[in-house]
Amino acid sequence: MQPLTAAQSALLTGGRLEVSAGCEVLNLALAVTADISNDLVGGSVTWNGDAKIHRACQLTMSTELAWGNVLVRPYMTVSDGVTSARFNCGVFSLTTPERPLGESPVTFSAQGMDRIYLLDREIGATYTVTAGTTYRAALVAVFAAAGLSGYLIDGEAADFTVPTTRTWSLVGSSTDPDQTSSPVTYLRVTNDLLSAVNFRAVWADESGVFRCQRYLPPSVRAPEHTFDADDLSTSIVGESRVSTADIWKQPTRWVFRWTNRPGGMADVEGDGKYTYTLPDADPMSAANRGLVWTTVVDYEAASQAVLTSLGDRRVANDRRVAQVFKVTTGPWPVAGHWDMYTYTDAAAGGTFKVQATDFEFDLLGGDASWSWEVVS
Amino acid sequence: MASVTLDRLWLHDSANFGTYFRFYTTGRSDERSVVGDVRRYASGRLRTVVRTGQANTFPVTLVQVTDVEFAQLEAWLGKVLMVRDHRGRLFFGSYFSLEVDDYPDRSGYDVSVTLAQVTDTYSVV
Repeated sequence: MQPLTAAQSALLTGGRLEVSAGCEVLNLALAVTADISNDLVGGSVTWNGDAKIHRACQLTMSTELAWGNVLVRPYMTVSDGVTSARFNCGVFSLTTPERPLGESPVTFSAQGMDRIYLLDREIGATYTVTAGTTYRAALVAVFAAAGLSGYLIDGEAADFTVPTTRTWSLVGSSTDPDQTSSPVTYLRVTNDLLSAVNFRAVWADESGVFRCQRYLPPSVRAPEHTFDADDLSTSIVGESRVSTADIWKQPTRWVFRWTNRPGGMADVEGDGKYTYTLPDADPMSAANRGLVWTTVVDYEAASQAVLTSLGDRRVANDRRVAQVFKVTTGPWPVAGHWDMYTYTDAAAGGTFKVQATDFEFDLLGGDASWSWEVVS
Repeated sequence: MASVTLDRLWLHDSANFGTYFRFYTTGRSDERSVVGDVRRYASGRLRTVVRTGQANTFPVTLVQVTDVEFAQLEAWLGKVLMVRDHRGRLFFGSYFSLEVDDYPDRSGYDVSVTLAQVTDTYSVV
């Protein structure tokens, strides 16, 4: 979520909210080249944490752009009549403009993908990162090779070096449809490098900047805002909300293998392999279920310790008995990447720490719709 | 001291201000509106959410419109016009339909239009 001041938070939850939207045109270096707010008719923004390209938009406008060659940054301005605040809603490449025929002036409708789309290009050559390179240097090199600026990389990426030379081979899309050996994109290389140091997959923030951040389990991340459905003075949680639960094919045992271990892969616990088995006391353990459900996962990792942390991350994700709330809220243009919230709702059974897994909001002030996964 | 008496409604082609007609009018009214609603939230809270921007519309009946004037009004359907009225107000707007009353006992027509104001700028040189 975008950082909010107390005044901005009060504005978004206040008794009267006035909403307008605008849109800027940017070049590849994220410099503003034009403002087309007067031509913006409307639009919406969606985000899905599990999607390869997380954020997308749909915009309607009465001006023609150099489709595919420019970026746009829609924004929302909210006001209570006294104070106002502007929030950027992402930077997008408009990919599918539609032009209705016989209309004057023409109103264009276009779908857009966030800047991750620009990283998702084939490299067109074998790409190699040599052993001993820090992961930060390797990431900087990928962005440079992709011709893209505007990124923030957590400093911890410089603490690890690539243990063995890593090569992504040149593969044609017609030779192997398998995802694991499909044509190598800058995005694939970036995310492989990030995964190896237990970072999140690269994402683009509301201003279009690429973000490479260390992964933190939801359990240790602090909520960024409280949505209290029971508070008569500040609640912006919509009346319609649904709770769903999902328990499906949960393993009892996980085996993680270190694929880029110096000296080659080894089937040795603690040196090339990490195994986690649910304790017998766990209701979902093999002892209680009568069967062993094993899953084997391969990881590139900077070290055995990183392999262990990646494994624990995977276990936590798989083990979460997913309870999801489908809710709506008032306009919330600050929604971001894997937002953490506190959700209080007597009808749902109390107070929950939740993590947003998808959202959609309207640029002109329609209510936002969300999926919130219960963390604790 | 010189004075100006504004007793009619002037419609100018915004692409060529020299092209205009003036009309006597009846039944002129104003309507001002914003897009918004009062939303109900889970706690029972009611809250106002509005979109920026006020829409102004001006229904008006132009009386004793000649054939030549009517032809121009028809040609202006959906075009942006500059509008001046008897109060000295000036705005830009469009109309999208003509409602015509043709009286057999007198010449000309009565034509009802609803002018919807658009955002525009102009300068006086």
